[in-house]
Amino acid sequence: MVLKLIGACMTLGACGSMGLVWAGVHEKRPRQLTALEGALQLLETEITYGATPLPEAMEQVAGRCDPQAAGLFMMTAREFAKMGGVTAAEAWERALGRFFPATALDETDLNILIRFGASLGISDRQDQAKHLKLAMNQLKAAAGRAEAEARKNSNIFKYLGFLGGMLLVLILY
Amino acid sequence: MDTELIFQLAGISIVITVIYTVLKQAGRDEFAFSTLLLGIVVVLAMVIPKIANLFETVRSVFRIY
Repeated sequence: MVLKLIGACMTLGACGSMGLVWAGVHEKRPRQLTALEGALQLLETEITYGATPLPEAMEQVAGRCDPQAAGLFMMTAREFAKMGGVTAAEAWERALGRFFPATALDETDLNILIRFGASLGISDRQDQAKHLKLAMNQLKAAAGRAEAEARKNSNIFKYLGFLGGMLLVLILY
Repeated sequence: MDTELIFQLAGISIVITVIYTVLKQAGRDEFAFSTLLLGIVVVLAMVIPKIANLFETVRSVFRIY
């Protein structure tokens, strides 16, 4: 009897926390997108006004931007520092490959960032600024969509986790 | 016949109703409907053996073979 009760509590807790985690992922995505957008804004300033070399600019941005996006720029800067003979696009992509799994971003956001990276460091300042603007606009649109989605979905996931757990307990009891 | 089953079914139906309402409020009508269907299937799976048992008892009491 006691064992059954403990099992029921554990099932309920597991399902409930699963729902909370899902809701958390949905809530985190728009914030991370906004953070990335802000970081790209900083990068644009570094490139167009400061004319900072890319490795330094990456470090600067990593130091000043939102901590949620700092990892990506820090890893890119580290790739540059390795002097492994990679282009800026390759360094960006490698950093992205390590940064992406730890975030709540999805494939479309990844594609925006990869496409932006492809143009990184291959042209003059004005052209770089254009590419940065494009990526920022796309991230902003994605953030808006993610925000609407999060408002709709996060509460449902919270409820559904607990209710699903309760249902499972009742069925198995 | 144990009364536990009745309470269990009541609990399941309450939870299913709440899930249905939540999903319907969120505009996920198709998920709401499938939850309802799932609930019906689960409840039927629990009840049908009991009904079969009842028929069996009736048949054996009145000796209808």
